[in-house]
Amino acid sequence: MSSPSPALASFKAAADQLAINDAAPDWLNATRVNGWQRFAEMGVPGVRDERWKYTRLAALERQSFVLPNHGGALSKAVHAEEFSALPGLRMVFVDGCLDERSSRLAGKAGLRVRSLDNAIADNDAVVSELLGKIAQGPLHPFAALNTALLANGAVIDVEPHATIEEPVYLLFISSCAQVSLISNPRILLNIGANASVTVVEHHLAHDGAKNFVNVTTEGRIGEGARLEYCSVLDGVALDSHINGLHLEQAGDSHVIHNSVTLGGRMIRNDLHCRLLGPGSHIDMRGLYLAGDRQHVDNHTLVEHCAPHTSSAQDYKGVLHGRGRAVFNGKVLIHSGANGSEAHQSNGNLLLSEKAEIDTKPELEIYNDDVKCSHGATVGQLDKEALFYLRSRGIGEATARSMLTFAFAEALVQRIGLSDVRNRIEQRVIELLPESERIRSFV
Amino acid sequence: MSNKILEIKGLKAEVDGKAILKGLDLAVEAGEVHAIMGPNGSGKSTLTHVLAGREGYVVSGGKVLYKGADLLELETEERAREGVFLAFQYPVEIPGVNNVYLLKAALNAQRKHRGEAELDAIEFLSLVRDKMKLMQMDESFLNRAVNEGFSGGEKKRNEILQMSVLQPTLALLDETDSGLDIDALKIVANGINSLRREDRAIVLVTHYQRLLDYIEPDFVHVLSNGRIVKSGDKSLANELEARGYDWLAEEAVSA
Ligand SMILES: Nc1ncnc2c1ncn2[C@@H]1O[C@H](COP(=O)(O)OP(=O)(O)OP(=O)(O)O)[C@@H](O)[C@H]1O
Ligand SMILES: [Mg+2]
Repeated sequence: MSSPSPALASFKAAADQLAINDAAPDWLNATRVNGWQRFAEMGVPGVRDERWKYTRLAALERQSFVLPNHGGALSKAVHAEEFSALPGLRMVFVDGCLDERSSRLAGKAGLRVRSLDNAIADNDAVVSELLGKIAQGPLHPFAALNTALLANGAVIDVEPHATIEEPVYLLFISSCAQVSLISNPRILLNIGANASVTVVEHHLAHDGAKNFVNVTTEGRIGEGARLEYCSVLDGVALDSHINGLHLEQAGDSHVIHNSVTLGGRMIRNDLHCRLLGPGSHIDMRGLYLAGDRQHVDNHTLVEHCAPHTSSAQDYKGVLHGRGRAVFNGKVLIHSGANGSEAHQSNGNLLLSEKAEIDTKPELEIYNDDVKCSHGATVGQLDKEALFYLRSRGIGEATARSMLTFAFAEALVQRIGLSDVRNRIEQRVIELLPESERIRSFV
Repeated sequence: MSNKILEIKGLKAEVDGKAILKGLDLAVEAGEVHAIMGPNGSGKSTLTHVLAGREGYVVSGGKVLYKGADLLELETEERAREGVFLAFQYPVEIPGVNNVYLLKAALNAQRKHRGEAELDAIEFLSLVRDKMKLMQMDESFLNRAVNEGFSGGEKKRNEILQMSVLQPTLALLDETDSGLDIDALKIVANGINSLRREDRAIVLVTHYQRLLDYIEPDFVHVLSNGRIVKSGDKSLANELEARGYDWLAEEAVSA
């Protein structure tokens, strides 16, 4: 047997460290140990694993990581980058540790937002009902790793029938450049029946931060509830980032997921949604940008388990330089899901010859009474549209960036929260090649 | 000094190896309106595209002078900034780009080219609002994506709106009258007429004599099989309306 990779050895050391040092309740340590066992059985996925074929973790495996130092002072203040104008409750994590000064956790009617370690200390029922119950199974080794190294995170609990107007904002900042940290935020969402809420999960990195951020989110969406969930991976400074969102939806619940990845060295987003109750629906919109030395992988899996469930996926990518992206969207319709509907589309704009996309929409259907469509496109900018703009006197480079921005904007404009939408628009302009020149038109 | 805006001599052009324009001559002076008519597929749109600088057309012979200088040497956007405007037979839908952004970018690109100050948002909007009134277009069109979901007639009106904002020296209008209802035809014709000036020229491609009742041409040409085969005054349009194009082919053969 070959010796474990530096990464694996460091994960093991971290798990052992947690087991010794933490004054955690026994059940928690048992949960971590169990998480480690499952992760160790699965191991770090390699290229022979179909789900990881195009996303190599070799570079990650060569690094070794340490856990964030919980006792230490938080290294940097958080100001400029956040959605500072967002109202509502917020939690800010710096290198995986809660920054209480920047957080705003006062209660709201019908809504509880608390840190995972507080919830654990209080024996909060949400923890025992959700933790490890939704993000599990052989498809998700990094959810198991997250459990093995469980430290902190957020618990969002919305009472039945509560309509929460202001968004809940979770900001995660990677700032440490001295050592490579692994942080394992865990987010638990419990959305009561007929409740409604918007959650923003926002990841940022300061230049030079070498973090491996391994987020696992588990959400149970109650009967008739509505959730808009925005995952924003904001920027090129993100190093290694694995993001798993795992949802279970009860009957007539409605989820909108806006996934925005603006770059990063090695990004993997997994969305696994199970439509368990009749009439449940998920609307998934994803935007990803990747340029030189950036890799963005989106894997989605939607399981239709009940009659009259529906899902819509619309993912768009803009790739430039030597940017690489992967889209793998799978829809699985189980035998009992009569009258279900699933639509999936993935469009990619390749702005350079060296950019690459591997796209694979998949349908697996075990019921005849369903309506499904899927399609993927890979292309360049529309020549007709380019000529039209140029024939109006608009220079070629400007015309190109207008069309590129327009391609991305089609998704961005569907984000419900204007603060988030505006910021993303500005970031997209900053990040697209030559897009400065269109700033005045947007 | 010659007052020629456009001078085309022996123009030959091909697409994908297929010859479309086969030695075309046309001269347009300032202040004139020329109508070009001709059978489907004869090369009318090709001519306007070559003049606007669309990629994919290979000019294999002849020359084109615009205000005395070689037009074919300029990039598409340079031609536009110099005052050449093409109203498309099939205006392109551009999702995600607002009409108002396009207009502003286009106008300011042209002003910058001429060394004029760019218009600020307020000046620009008041200009555009005036032009929209002229075209009887609702202001809601400003914030819609360029031509996206516009009806056929709305697209044509939008072309003329752009033209009236950009005030070109040479307007090439490719079947701007097709698909218009009677009221819209009057509005569009009115928009085109408002551009008529001593120092400008208009070339309009049309299949219908009807448009020429509203916009009186100085010359009417017949383009057939890649050449101008007959030129005349407005009465030629009436004759074509009555007799079609076949007699011209016979005339050409017997000539
Ligand atoms: N890419 C191409 N490859 C081959 N032939 C082409 C191509 N583009 C245009 N053509 C041909 O060129 C000829 C001229 O087309 P053009 O659009 O200029 O005609 P038109 O006079 O504008 O006709 P209409 O009155 O129908 O608008 C047509 O026969 C058309 O099929
Ligand atoms: Mg034509």
